[in-house]
Amino acid sequence: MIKQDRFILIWMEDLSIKNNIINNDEYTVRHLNLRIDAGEFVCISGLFGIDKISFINTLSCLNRPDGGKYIYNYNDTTTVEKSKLDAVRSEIGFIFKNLNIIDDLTVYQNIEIPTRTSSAAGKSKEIVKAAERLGVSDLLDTKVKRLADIEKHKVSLARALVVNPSLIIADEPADALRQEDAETILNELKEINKLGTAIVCFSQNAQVIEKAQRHIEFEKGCIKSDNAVKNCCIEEGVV
Amino acid sequence: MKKRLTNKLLLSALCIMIGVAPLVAFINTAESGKHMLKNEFGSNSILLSLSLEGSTAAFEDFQKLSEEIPEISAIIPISTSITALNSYKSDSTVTLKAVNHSYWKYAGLNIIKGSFITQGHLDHNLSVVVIDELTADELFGTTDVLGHKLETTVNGISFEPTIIGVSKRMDITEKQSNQGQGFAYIPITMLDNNLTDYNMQQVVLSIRDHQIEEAKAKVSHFLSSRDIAVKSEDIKLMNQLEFMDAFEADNKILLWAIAVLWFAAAILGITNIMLVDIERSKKYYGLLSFYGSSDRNIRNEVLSKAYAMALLCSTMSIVVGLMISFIVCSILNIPIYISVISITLGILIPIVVCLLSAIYPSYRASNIDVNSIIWQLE
Repeated sequence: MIKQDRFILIWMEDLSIKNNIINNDEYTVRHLNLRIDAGEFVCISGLFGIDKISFINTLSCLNRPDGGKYIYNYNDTTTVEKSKLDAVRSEIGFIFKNLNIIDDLTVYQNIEIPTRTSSAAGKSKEIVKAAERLGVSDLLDTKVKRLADIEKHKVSLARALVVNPSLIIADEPADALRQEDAETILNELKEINKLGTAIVCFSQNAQVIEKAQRHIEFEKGCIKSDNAVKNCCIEEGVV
Repeated sequence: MKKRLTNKLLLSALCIMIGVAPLVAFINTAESGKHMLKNEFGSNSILLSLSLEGSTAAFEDFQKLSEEIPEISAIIPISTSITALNSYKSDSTVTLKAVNHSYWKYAGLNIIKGSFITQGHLDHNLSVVVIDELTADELFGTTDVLGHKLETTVNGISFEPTIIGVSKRMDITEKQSNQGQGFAYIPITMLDNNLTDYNMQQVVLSIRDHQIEEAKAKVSHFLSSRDIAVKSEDIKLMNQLEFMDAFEADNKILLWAIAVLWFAAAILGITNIMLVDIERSKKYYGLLSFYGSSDRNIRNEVLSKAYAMALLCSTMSIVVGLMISFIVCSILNIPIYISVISITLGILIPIVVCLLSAIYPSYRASNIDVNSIIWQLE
């Protein structure tokens, strides 16, 4: 029997991504070949600013690639229609560098955002479950602006979890936190990963890289190195 | 900022209400009037006015007539005399008409203060009087005379009736035809408690849904069988509903025109509020879009706010509109009739106004530049 964490989740073949934010012809990524399996914990470094954003936008199916092929969870993002692309993206969890949580809303309302327009039953159960998982269930009715930094990060992580994602994309998830708080968030990510969710972190932070199973380093839009992290406890071969 | 937005929202809701509530009130009041007229006179009424001076006809004769002709919807006995009315201040000679509660609908009197004689005044044999503005001016020097007492003598009996209503001043032609005298109306029961011994002077019969000749023949046959002499008779076809429809049509156009202006103001107001709200909630809509909500779902999210506002506005408009029509009907002494059309309009108009207001903002929300919001590239 094939284990679920061996499924190919991300398949990039000869992938090119233009800098679509500033709208010039510069390539962020050129002729990239990359495979990430379900259940992997990958840390990507060497991408900065607009290049990183363009790559995340493509990885998260917000934008289509400008060349080559990108298949996410068996959906060819170059050809699939926009509504399907939206549906694919709705099953990905995100943790943003700036958190992107709305201060005027309550914890519950913030966690609810990814499922706000979904008609699926049991949404509120999932929200409570995600909040309980991160230990913020007592704060569900509290406005986010009253929370401490670590609690805001937990809300952000709970929001990523609420869609039961097969992939969480985390942009510098612990960089703005104190070391012990960062450790808490990274451990949570690790725990989530152990349950089968793939994690792709974008960070230069050694603390994050240490937690990952695999470290991919970019340089000038190409992969410079792609290694298993040595001190990570790998149960099965990853790369 | 939030307070200013709430104030703007309330003002826009008020605009919708100012447009819708008078429409609801007008339609209900007009329908109530029409229903009352229909019930009283039928849709095609004949008014048969019989002058009975010198005859022995009594009120009960006409009650028997109405049993034989069930289409008789109202018997209006009228006893007219020239009488002096005395107030604490002055005297006035008037044409005094002793009538029942149906008279004002038949005569089309315009009561500007208080009310006309009601069934209750007749049932309890109350000593009350309704005078016109001319008489009120002559007696008191003002038309604010409700509750004042007068002294008068009718058929040798003295009364001290209380003024319960003031009817509109007569025009010059009416005044000339009445030798410059004013009018006063008292319940006919003041002259004869049970109307048993009272010899009728004049009676007006309202007969509904009958052809003129047929009605005339039936009444003549009845009167001759009872040896009641009729001095003169006057018959006319009265279609109050036609008059009512014309009145309604004229005023409806004006009301709609005013309402449309208010709706335009409401649309501008709500659109503006929604655009400001979307500008403030850019991150929220950007996140919805980033998390895979389709454009349609985001538009629906904005439209749902418009639906909520429409619900609030329609409820308020209907309640205020009904309250106005209740007040107007109770002043005019008309039984209230709640029109389904008015309620339907009261629900539909706010929905249409709010949805029209939300169309552009909803497109703005669904077209927010996700990159600039999520990655804060501005």
